[in-house]
Amino acid sequence: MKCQDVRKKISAYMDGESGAAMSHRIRQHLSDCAECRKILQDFQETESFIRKLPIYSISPEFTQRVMTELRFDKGTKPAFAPNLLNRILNFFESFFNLLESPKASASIEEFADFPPCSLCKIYFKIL
Amino acid sequence: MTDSDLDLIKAVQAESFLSKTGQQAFEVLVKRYQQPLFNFIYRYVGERSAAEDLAQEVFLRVWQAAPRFEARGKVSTWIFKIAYNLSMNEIKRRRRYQDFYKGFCDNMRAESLFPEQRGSRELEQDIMRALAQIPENQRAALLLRVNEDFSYNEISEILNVSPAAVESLIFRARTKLRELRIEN
Ligand SMILES: [Zn+2]
Repeated sequence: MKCQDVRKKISAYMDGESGAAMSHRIRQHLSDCAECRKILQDFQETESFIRKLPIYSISPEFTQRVMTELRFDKGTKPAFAPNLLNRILNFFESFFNLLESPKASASIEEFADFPPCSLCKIYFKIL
Repeated sequence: MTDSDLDLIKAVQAESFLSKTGQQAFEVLVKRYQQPLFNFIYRYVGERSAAEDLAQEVFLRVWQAAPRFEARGKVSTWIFKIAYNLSMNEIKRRRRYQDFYKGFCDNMRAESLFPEQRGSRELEQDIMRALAQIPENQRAALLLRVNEDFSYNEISEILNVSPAAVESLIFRARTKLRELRIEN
């Protein structure tokens, strides 16, 4: 095996991801080639460098915050309801959403073509 | 006996969103993954306060998507995939709006948030600085491999690329880190 080919595979070899046959050939090459051995060693050093990062602790109240959020936020319940009660609840929810939606979608752009001071027309349009 | 990840997801799927049992199962899952997720996101995004918010968002998405989870893949890969996508969006958003004063904010936060770890801070900053210098997708692949011990196949699912692409990402990340070390 050429050094060039070995070096391309050294990273995967380190991770045990180069396959049995390839790993065998790489091992053979490494036993004869100091330069490639040095590269493997460098890679291993960068690895232990990254592993030196401390383990960061998440806030102690994190779990409770997540659980509270998903209990009380209407938008975060599972997207499909596996039982009958949920299906009924979902039905009513989408029904009421439907009723509410026109009001929510009345944006200021809709009134852009009204002349200034035509508040009455705007008022009637909202109604 | 502890429940497997899949048992927990199945319990969430089987119960209504109002039920205690489903929520309890989910809470076990949160406790199991909050720490590794938080660490992955923090190291990937590079900012602690954002990492906690993102981790919370990940669990809400997992909760919402749980009914649609199919047992073909592993739960852990699925959760990290959600985390990766959210974090990647956050990085893109920041790049658009915040790059200008990001360095400044990072320093401020670093000073105020870790008073307990001043001793090891220099090394930690060196590592984070080195990580910040490799492209995001390479950084994600490397962190998932080195810190979370995922296989190349699993990482390919999380990043939504081929296993060969994962091999190349990790290889390039290591090559870059090696260069940085030689330079210094
Ligand atoms: Zn060689």
